[in-house]
This record gives sequence, C-alpha cells and structure tokens, in this order.
Amino acid sequence: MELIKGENLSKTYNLKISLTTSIKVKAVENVSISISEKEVFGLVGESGSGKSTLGRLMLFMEKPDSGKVIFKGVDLSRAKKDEVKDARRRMQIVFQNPDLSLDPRMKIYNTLKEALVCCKYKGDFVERIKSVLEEVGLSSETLNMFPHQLSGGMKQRVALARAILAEPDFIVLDEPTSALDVSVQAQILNLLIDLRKKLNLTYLFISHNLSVVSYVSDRVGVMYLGKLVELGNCDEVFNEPLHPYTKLLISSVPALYMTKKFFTQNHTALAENGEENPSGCRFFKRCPYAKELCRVKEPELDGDKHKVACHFA
Amino acid sequence: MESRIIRAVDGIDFTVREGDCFAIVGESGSGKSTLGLSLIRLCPGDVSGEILIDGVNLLKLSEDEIRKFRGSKISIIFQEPSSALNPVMKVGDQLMEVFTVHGYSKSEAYQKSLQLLKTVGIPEAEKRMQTYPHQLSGGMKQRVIIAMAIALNPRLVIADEPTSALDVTIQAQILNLLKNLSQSYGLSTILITHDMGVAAELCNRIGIMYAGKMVEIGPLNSIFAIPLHPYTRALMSCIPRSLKENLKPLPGHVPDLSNPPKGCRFHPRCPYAKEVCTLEEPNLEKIDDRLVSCHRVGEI
Ligand SMILES: Nc1ncnc2c1ncn2[C@@H]1O[C@H](COP(=O)(O)OP(=O)(O)OP(=O)(O)O)[C@@H](O)[C@H]1O
Ligand SMILES: Nc1ncnc2c1ncn2[C@@H]1O[C@H](COP(=O)(O)OP(=O)(O)OP(=O)(O)O)[C@@H](O)[C@H]1O
Ligand code: SF4
Ligand SMILES: [Mg+2]
Ligand SMILES: [Mg+2]
Repeated sequence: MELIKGENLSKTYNLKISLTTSIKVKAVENVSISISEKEVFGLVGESGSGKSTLGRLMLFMEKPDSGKVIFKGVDLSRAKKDEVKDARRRMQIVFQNPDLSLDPRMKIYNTLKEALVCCKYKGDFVERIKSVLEEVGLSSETLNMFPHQLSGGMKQRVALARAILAEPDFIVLDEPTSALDVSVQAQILNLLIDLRKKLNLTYLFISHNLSVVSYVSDRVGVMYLGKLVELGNCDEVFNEPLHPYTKLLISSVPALYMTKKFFTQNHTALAENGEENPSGCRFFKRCPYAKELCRVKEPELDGDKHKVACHFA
Repeated sequence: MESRIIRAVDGIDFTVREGDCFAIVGESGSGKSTLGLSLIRLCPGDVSGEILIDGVNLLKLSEDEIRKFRGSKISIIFQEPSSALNPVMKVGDQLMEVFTVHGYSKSEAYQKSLQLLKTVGIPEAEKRMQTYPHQLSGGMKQRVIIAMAIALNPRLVIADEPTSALDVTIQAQILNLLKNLSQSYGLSTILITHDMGVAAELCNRIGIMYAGKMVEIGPLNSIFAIPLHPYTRALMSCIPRSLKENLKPLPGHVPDLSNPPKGCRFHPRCPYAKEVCTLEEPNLEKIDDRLVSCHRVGEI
C-alpha cells in the first residue's frame, strides 16, 4: 500500500551571488517517488544534489514550484488547511544536528511536552513521554536535563522521541547519524530499525553515506544535480547499479564498506565537479561512456522496478 | 638515511617508516588531533617522552629550530579546506609565499608553485594560480592545501581528517593523490581519521585510540582480520558493511577526557571487564606483531 507519493516535483531557488546578481539553482527537477507503508526509502547523492530539498518537498514544509504530494490518498496541494495540518502532524522530520533542532534553554521534558501540545494529545503527558523515552532507550532522568548535558547520541534519541510523540506514519530522516561516532551511529541505526517495526513507521532516509543507506533501506533513489538518476531495490542498486554515476559513487566508497568496484581504470579522475550540461544528460562531462546523444538529449528515468536515466544503461 | 622517522609520545609508542602511512583512528574526542598537534609541538599541554624524526628529538629543539623544522621536515594538513587558506589572497600568491619565505626568488617561487599544482593534479594550473580560494571546489582547495604542505619536500606529513568534509567521490580522489605522493617521493604520512575505511585505503599500520590512549597498534591487515583489544573488536562490529550484516552496537559513548574513568578507560563499556580493569590502567604490551593494552588480552 502506498503511503506517500511525490509526483513530478520541482523546486528552483534564487541564489544571490552578489548584491545585484542571482542565479537560479534547480535544486529538484521533475522528481517522482512513491513510498509504501512500512518501507524505508533511502536517498543518496553528493552534497548539493537536492536530497534535503526533496525531503522538505515531500513533507510539504516547502511548496514545490510544480508537481504534487499525495499523502494517504490526499493531494496536499489541493487539500483544505485543516487536512494539510493533520497530514503535516503525521509526517515528521529528524535532522543531522540535534543541537540546532533542540532548544538549548529548554529542559528535555518541556521540549517533549511541546510536541504533545502541538498534536493536541488528550491523555497523561508524563506517562506518554516516559513511555516514548523508554522506547528510544533513554531513562526518565533525562527529562530534567538540558540538551548540553546530553551526548550527541542521546540528543538524537530525544529528537527521535519528539518526532514519535506526534504519532507519525512517515518520518524523513535527514542525515540522522552523520554527526555521530560509529559506535553511536550503530546504536541509532538499530534503534531506527526497531522503532519502524514496533510503530509501523515509514522512513525517507537521506544520507550521503552509502553503506549506512544500504544497511537500513528497502529501496533507494540516487540523485544527481536535482534529478533522480536511478531508483530500485536496495540490493539491486548497490550490487548491479545501472547508472554510471551510481557506479562511480559505489566505486568511491572505501573497500572496507563496499567491495564492489565498477571501474578498473582510475575512476577517481571522473570525480571532477562537472559543470552542468545544459541540454543533455547532466552527468555528460564526467561520464566515461558518454556519446554525442548524451550531449544533446536528456535521458528520461525509465524502467520497470529498477529505473535508470541513461541512454546506454 | 635513517629509515625510522618518528617515535613515541607520552606512552603512545609508534614508529612511522619512510614512505609508510600510519593511521591514527578513534572516535570523536579521543584525542587524535591533540596527538597530531603535539607531534609537531603545536599543542600547548606538555608532552613527555620523545618525538624523534630522523634521529632528532623534536622535544629538545628550541622554538626557533622547531619553526624551521615545520614545513621543511614535517607539515600538517587540516580537515576544513576553507579555513586553511587565506580567502582574500590568490591561490598562486599563497603558494609562492611558502617558497619566498624560505629564501627563493619570485620567479623561482612561481615556477615551483606551478609545478606543485600540476603534481597535485590541478588542471589548468596557470589559470588557477590567479584564482581566489572561493572559486575552487572543496576537492581543489584540499589539493592546494596538500600542495602547500609538500612544497618544501618534508619527510612527514600529518593529515588530520583530510577528507572528512568532502564527498565520497572527491575523497577517493584525494586519498589516491596522497597514496601517489608517498609512493613517488617516499613521503611518510600520519593519517588522523575517525573512519576505519579511509585508514584502510591508505595505510599499512594503524593505531586505535580510545579516550586519549592508544589501545592497539600494529599492521592494519592483521588488526582488521583479528582485532585483539575489546574496543577494536567492538568498533569493527559497529561498521555497516555490505548489505544487511547485523550491527552489534557498543553501548554508551566516549567519556569526557577531562574526567576519564579510572583503571582501563574502556572498562565501563567493555563486555570483558573484571575487577582489575576498574583499578589498574593496562599498559601497551607486545603481542605477536602488535601492541595491545588490555588486562585480559590473552584470555578473551
Ligand atoms: N533555501 C535555499 N536557498 C537557495 N538555495 C538553496 C536553498 N536550499 C537549497 N539550495 C540549493 O539547492 C541545491 C540542493 O541543496 P540540498 O540542500 O537539497 O542538497 P543536499 O543533497 O541535501 O546536499 P547536502 O548533502 O550537502 O545536504 C544546492 O545547490 C543548494 O545550494
Ligand atoms: N591525552 C589526553 N588527556 C586528556 N585530555 C585530552 C587528551 N587528548 C586530548 N584531550 C582533550 O580532549 C578533547 C578532544 O581532543 P581532540 O580534539 O584531540 O579529539 P579528536 O580525536 O581529534 O576528536 P574529533 O574526531 O572530534 O576531531 C580536547 O579538549 C583535548 O584537550
Ligand atoms: S583491560 Fe579490562 S576493561 Fe579494559 S579492555 Fe581489557 S578487558 Fe576490557
Ligand atoms: Mg542535505
Ligand atoms: Mg580532531
């Protein structure tokens, strides 16, 4: 069963580069993804490829320039205010840096209470908060503490607790473990997997770390300069990638994490920041397989279950 | 030529040979950067023991002597490419300054800088000399910083998280560059990183740090194959590797170094800890091809 769908989402930003000039950045361009109930959808790509922007669009935190978001069958761009509000509560987000998302002057209890007030919770606040705290592996002593008294991992657990208090169906996890040590990252990853099972959650898991994404995801999408270039089951995409860019990404991961290498030649030369190719495939300048067609014609994301946007894949 | 380049800091005993790359791996706050800085005497705290480079003990040098040593014999690369470069000075001028400060003429400095940029793989080097740092991508900036670090042919480069701020594709590129430099010039490297995978790409020996102490030191391959210290073992099973291999998280987190646990610093998180571990600090002891500090290393 489909839980949420983004259809042909696009978002362009005006980026000021000086007082008088600004350039248009196509952060997300014509991206469609559909996520089923209880699924973990991973999103990978280099910095600036538009992962976070797509996350915000899916949550309707930001209105897309075009395209729509359908959550539980409701088209959010046409829904009434109340409906959108209700849907927004059932969708939560957890960011990379809990320091920025937790108010440093507020005790953890108050931070969490706010989440319950927001969703108009009717029952006993203390009881509910304590039970969620236990769910994320924190003791109730945490409630009287301030964020600075907690470690990075504990803060991320608080951020998760706050998200869960709203009883969401869908959570966007935007680089949730990127600021954490590997030992704490492993704790949080396993916690996320447990919570999903227990609470029937659906995740959009954003990360630039391919091995982390491959560990938690059922399906993955690969983004490059605002476009989805590959989409499929996690195992397929990581074991038999079709897009040259996906192959480059996987080949660049240290062998300790991913042993597959798809380029025998010195693939690292391909990593140069390619400038955008205005008319054809965006990966054109970096692609070892590029032909004339790639320069002039943009490939469409095509395929059945395993989709790819490449003329020659 | 003395092949042993560097040795010993404060109970942290390791050797880096010519052309070798030694990795210092540990989680955030384990004291890696502090160790890196103290190796070139840029760290305010006192360092006891000895730091030997080509037989010269850095701790015995005067301030003047150590200043000359830095850059010419030993240099350091930091994580954040943007902060290491002067934003209002052209890349070429910054590079040339390294040479002119050391007595080269302007035109010599220009030629050498140009050559360096080519060595670190910057295309259109002449053009790049005239650009400002913000006009370069993150990977390019890091290449320029590496160029500055190797400008005076040092014997040893300390690279503190040189790729942590970069995308994985650019990281692979920079690691490749560092590998080539050490192969072509016999440059020794100390790589400081929290990322075991990055260490494995570049290094043949590794030291695992926990809470300010080295807990295991030895050849990378044998440590990865059979980690002996409980912390090294735990770290290895925290790494998400190929698909869906279950992670076994290590409970808790790295302690605050201003108040480390008594006895073995790892004992509150260690599944093998016994009473002795809470009382006595273990020393690094030689076991086969490596050094390990754990009271129970033979038994577990
Ligand atoms: N509010 C904004 N105003 C202007 N430009 C923006 C804004 N948000 C994002 N961008 C631009 O849109 C592009 C995509 O950014 P986004 O943050 O979605 O990428 P990302 O894949 O999440 O990158 P990272 O891995 O660095 O988080 C970038 O070029 C970015 O500079
Ligand atoms: N041997 C030591 N004993 C006591 N305190 C130490 C020791 N080494 C470092 N510290 C202190 O611990 C703190 C963290 O050290 P440092 O920045 O070197 O860690 P790091 O391993 O580089 O962490 P990161 O991965 O976050 O860069 C610093 O405040 C430093 O002063
Ligand atoms: S000394 Fe004791 S506590 Fe420390 S690592 Fe060894 S067994 Fe564990
Ligand atoms: Mg982002
Ligand atoms: Mg550091």
